[in-house]
Amino acid sequence: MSDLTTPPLLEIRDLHVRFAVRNGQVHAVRGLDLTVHRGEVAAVVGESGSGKSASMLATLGLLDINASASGSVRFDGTELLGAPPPVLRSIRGGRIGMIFQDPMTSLNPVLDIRRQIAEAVITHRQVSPRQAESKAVELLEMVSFPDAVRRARSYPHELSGGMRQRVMIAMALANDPDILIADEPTTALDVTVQAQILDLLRSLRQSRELAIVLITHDLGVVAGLADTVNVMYAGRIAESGPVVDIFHRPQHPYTIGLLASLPRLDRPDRELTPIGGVPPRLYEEPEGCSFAPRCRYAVEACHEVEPPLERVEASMVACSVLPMRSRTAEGSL
Amino acid sequence: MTSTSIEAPLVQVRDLVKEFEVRRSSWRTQATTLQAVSGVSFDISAGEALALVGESGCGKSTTARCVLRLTEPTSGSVRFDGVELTELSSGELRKARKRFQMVFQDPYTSLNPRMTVGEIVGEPLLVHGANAAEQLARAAELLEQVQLGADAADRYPHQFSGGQRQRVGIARALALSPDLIALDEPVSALDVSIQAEIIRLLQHLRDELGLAFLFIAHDLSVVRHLSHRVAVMYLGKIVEVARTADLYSRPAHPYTKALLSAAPIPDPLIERDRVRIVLTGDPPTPVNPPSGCRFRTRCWRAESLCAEVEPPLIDIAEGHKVACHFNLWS
Repeated sequence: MSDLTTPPLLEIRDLHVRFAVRNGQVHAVRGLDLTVHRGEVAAVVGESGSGKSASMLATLGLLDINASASGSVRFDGTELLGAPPPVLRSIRGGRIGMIFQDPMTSLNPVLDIRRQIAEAVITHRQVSPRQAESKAVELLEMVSFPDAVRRARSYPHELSGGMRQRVMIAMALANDPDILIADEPTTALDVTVQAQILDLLRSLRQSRELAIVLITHDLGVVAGLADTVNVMYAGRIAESGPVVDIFHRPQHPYTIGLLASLPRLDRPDRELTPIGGVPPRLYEEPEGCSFAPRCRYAVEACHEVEPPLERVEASMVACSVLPMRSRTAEGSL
Repeated sequence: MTSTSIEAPLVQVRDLVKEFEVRRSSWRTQATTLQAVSGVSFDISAGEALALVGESGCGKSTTARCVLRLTEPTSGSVRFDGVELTELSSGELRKARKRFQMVFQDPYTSLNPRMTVGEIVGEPLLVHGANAAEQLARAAELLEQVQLGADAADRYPHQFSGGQRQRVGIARALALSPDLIALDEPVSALDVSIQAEIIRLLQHLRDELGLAFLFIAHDLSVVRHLSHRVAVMYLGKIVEVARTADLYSRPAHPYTKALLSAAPIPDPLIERDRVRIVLTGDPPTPVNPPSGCRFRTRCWRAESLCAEVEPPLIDIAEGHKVACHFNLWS
């Protein structure tokens, strides 16, 4: 769990990411603040285009050539933004592990999985190929890869989606990272396989005090795994806070709207309330609060001034209306 | 629900089988067959929404495509309002298709980018002999019906968001006033806040127009909101079918129970205390399915009988069928 007295492991401040496109630029991340403590699972949720993946690629120095990032990303005291490539290479796959959504396209189809995992080990450590390969088998066993010794020589196409994702996780853990950045790690998987991978991540974070940045659009996955939740909208944090507060005392109208629009297995008779409208496309800077055009609580001021993140109870919220709060104050809730 | 026991069901599917030929490797010429659908039977009454759920590769989409004869079934019978669809000539089939239409998963690839929305929505009418003026008028009406507004007609698909495009796909399916619409994962490509809009639109259309739905989905919470009955498929077979509320509250097949327990609930206080059945392994390949009960390799209740005898789909309560030797009620 998060320990507020120690400095955070990963601290992102005022991160901006811009993509050059044919007719100008897209300001995909517009001043993101994110803090992850040691051993903490921090979820970053948002819809497509909200900037969640772009901000993580910027953090890792993996943005495409047409993108630029500014702001600050500090990992255990080291500034990553603008760090020289050798520094980034040693941290990526070393103290920061990564897993991506689609394990098929992230694995090399012409190498067997033992060699691919061994490669991750050799890149970061002075070991012989033989040692690296036995480490690879060890890692496969750690992620509960069935029959690891025998099947370590399999090629990616011989494996199911769930098995491939286990290989990805084994590679990400090859060098005992402090933090794992997981971008939609279960989205491509079937629900019964998703449950297995979530169980694995849960047990890893416990046995290794692993911090996880969990990027996802699936609030059910968040509810089961995250300690803190960061809700992104149009390239910024709309609301962040402890998981129970986000789900049970949401403050930002977008968070409230998301939860109300969610079909729930356990509440079949609940009327779904869509948010209405669509997220802004960030070719132009939104004026005022970027959610205001879709917000049922918006007042005139919302269309003029972008609200800063401010503390509301246990959460940080970027909203100048705070509908839940005023309601509680009036005693009508 | 509109189903009554006297009326014959709108759709009657019996022993539907679909096999595909697959080659194991490029140099080997001998083909093996993959049975994607292995003897599936179900009914859909007029105005009823039946969901087919299951994991990828279970045959749910293939089943729907065979019912509409978008794919030729290998064997079995599909009767639509008394007419055997599998025996129709292509000309007869085209006429019959007026009454059953389809909405596809991906609203980005299922709409022609070079046609205006009005042309897309009106095209089915043109195919079935309407003139241009009729087509235009009906397109405007349909676009109103899916809450896009008639002025959407002159614009192109790329000018719309994913949710709006899915409305276009739904309007196209409604164009010929069908009795049945098959929807293949109609909301799974959409963002959460947009999904709710489409779910509500579909609920509305189902209730207002008395349409029957054959609804293909993997998301059990979406299914719960949209269907009257649910059939759970595993490796080409229906393992359980029941009214939605019964299936969710009292699943009888171990696989159904596992599916329900694996689907996350977006509430940390509930989600963390749930007792979950986590199945081991992945579904086996349909090229070489397990003997007996196909689920037995992942089932925690399996005994030797399950490997020997395939359990038939039998009634255990009114409207509730299950294919399991040791179902959870017993």
